[in-house]
Amino acid sequence: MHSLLHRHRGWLWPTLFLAPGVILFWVVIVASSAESLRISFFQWDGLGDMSWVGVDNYIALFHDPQFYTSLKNNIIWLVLFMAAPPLGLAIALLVNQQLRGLRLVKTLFFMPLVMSQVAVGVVFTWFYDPANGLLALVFRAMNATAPALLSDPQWVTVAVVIAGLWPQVSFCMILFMAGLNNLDDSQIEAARVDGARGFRMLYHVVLPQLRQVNFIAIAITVIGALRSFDMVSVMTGGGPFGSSSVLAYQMYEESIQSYRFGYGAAIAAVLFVIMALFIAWYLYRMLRIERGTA
Amino acid sequence: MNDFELDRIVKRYGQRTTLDKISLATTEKEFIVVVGPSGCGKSTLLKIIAGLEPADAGRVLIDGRDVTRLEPGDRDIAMVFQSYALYPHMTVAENMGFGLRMAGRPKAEIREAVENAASILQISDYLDMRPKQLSGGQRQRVAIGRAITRSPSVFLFDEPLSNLDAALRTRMRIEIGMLYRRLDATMIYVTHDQVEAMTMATRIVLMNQGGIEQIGVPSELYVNPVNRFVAGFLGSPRMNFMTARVADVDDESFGVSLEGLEGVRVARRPEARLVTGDEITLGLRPEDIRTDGGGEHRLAGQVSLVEEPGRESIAYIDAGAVRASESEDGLGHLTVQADRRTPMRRDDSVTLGFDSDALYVFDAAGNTMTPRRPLDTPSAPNKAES
Repeated sequence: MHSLLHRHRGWLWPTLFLAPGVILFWVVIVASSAESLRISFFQWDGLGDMSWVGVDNYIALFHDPQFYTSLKNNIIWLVLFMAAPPLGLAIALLVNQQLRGLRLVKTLFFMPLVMSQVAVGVVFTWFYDPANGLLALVFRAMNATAPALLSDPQWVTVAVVIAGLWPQVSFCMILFMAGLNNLDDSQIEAARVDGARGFRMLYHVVLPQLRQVNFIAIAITVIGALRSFDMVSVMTGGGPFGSSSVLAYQMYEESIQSYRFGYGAAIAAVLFVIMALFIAWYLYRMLRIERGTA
Repeated sequence: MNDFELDRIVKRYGQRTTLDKISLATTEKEFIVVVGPSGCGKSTLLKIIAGLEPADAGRVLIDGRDVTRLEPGDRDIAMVFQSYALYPHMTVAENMGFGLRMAGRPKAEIREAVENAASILQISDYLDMRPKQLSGGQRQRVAIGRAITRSPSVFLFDEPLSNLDAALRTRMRIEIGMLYRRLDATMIYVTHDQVEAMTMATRIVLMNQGGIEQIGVPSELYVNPVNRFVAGFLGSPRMNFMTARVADVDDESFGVSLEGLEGVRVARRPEARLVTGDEITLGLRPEDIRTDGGGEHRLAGQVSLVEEPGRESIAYIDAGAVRASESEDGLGHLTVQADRRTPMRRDDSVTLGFDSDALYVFDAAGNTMTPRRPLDTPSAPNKAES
C-alpha cells in the first residue's frame, strides 16, 4: 500500500488537492451555466412540466421594454462604477503617508467592506429619506426641499450606484494600498534624484508599477457593476415601476417572483454573453500591452 | 572654493545618533570612498548628500551652494543605486534620458546626451531594450549611464558593485575608475569592500558608529592608522592583535611585557602618554611576519591551517603563549601571510620572526602610540598625476 502511494505520488497528490476545487467549479459554475442555458429554451414555471419553445424567450426578451431599461441601467452602473478605481487610488495615495492618526482614517475607509451590502443599502436608503434622512437635513439647512431620489425614475439608478460605489471604492483603495506598499523604494528615490515629483512622479514611476493592481481593480469593478443586484434589491426592489432594475435583478424577479424560469434563464444568458465579451476584450487588450512591454 | 563640502552633519533616529557631526571637504574633484562596517552610517550619509533623507543638523554644499534644503533633483547630483533602480517599463534610452526629460530639456539634446553616455559605456546596442532583457553588468552600466547623462557635479555611488560576481566586479571597478578620470566631477562612493576603497579612492573616509575614524589617501590609512579600529579594518588578512603591558617607558621608546616574548622595545610618539603597567595592544600585519628565520624577534610555533588563495599563502599559527586577540580563526592563532615559495604544511613547526619597527602599539583607548611611518609607496593615484 505504502509503496503504491509512493510510486504514484507524482500525480496522486496534485489530483487529490485539485479535486475539490475542480469538482465544485464544474458542478456549480459550468454545469449550472449549461443547465441554465438549456432552460432558456423552455417555458417552465419551476415546478411543472417544461415545454420546448425554441428561441421564443429571446424574441420576447428583445421586445420587452423592461429589458432595455435594465440594460440601460447596467450601462449606467458600468460607467459610474469606473469612478471607483481612480477614487480608490486617490484615497490610497492620501492615506499612504507617515502621519499620526492615519491608521484610524484607513480603518474608517475600510469600514464599508466589512459591512454587508444589505446594511450599506439600508444605510443609504435612510440617508436618502426625503423626510428624516441626512440628505434632507442638508437640504433643509440650505432652506431647500430634498428630492425623493429613490422615487424619482430619473435619478434612482444614480442614487443606488452611489451607494454601491462606497464599498467598491474601499475595495479599490485596499488593492492600491497593497500595491503602494510593494513599490520599489529605490526606483522612487532614483526618480527623485532625476527630478521627478508630484504628478509626474505618479504618472511616470508610480502608476507603471501599479499596472497589475490597476488591471485587477478595473476587472473586478466591471464585474461588480454588471452583476449588481443586492443594492437594487434592498434599496428599491427595481422600482419605481422597474426604472432602477438591472439585468440581474430582472432575471431574479422573472424567475423567482413570476415563475418564468425560461425567461429568466434567457436574461441570464444575455448577461453572461455581455460579461464574457467584455472580459475577453479586456484580457486581450491587457495581454497585448503586456507583450508590447515584455 | 570647495567643490563639495559636508559641514557637521548630524542625523538621529529617535534617541540614537546615527551620524555625529560629519564634516568633509573636497577641492579638486576627488574620488572619495566612504567605507566602514555595516551600520556605521555610511549609507545614511549618502542619502543625506542626495537629499533623500533630511539631516537633523549641518549643511551640504555643492560648488559652494548650500543645497541642504533642496530636493534631490535640484542638487546637481546623480546617484547609482545598489539595486540599479532602473525603471522597468522604460527602455534603456528612456531610463537614461529621464532626468533630462524631467528637467524639460529639448528632445534632440536628450538624445545626444544619451547616445554620448551610451558610447562611453559601450551600451549603444541596448538602447531600445528594457532592463529585464539585460544582464546584471549591463544593468549596472545603464544605471551609471543614467547618472552620466545628467552631467552632475557630484556622482553618488551606493555599493554599486555588490550585486555583481567577482570577475565583473573587478572589471566595473576599473571602468568606474577610468570614468572618473574622464568626467570632471566629484565622486562619493560608499562601500563596505576595502579592496574597492583601497584601489579606487583618492581619499578614503573610514567610518565607524556614526563618526569618521580617519580620512586620508589609501596608503596613509594602511601605513599610519590613527587607531586600532582603522588598523584592523583595512588589510586582508587582518592585522594580528596581542594584548600586552607597558614594562618601562623612556623618552623615545618603551618596553613591552608579553608572555612568551622577551625584550621587545618599540619607538613611541612624543605625545604618547604611557605609564608602566598600562594595558596596550600590539598590532602586527600578517605580511610583516617572516617565516624564513630572519627578524629581530623570534617565536616558535606550529602551523594549524594553511590557505592558498593563489598569489600567497596564509597560515594560522599556534605560537604557544603568544596569542592573538580577535584572531581570524577564533583560536588565538597568529595569521601569517607568506610567499608561496616558502611552503608550509599543517602541523609543521615554524620559527616566526619580526622587527620591532613592524609593530604597532595602541593604548587602552585604541589610539596609536607608535610614531608615524613614511609611506613607501607614492600617494594613491589622484587626478593631478594621471
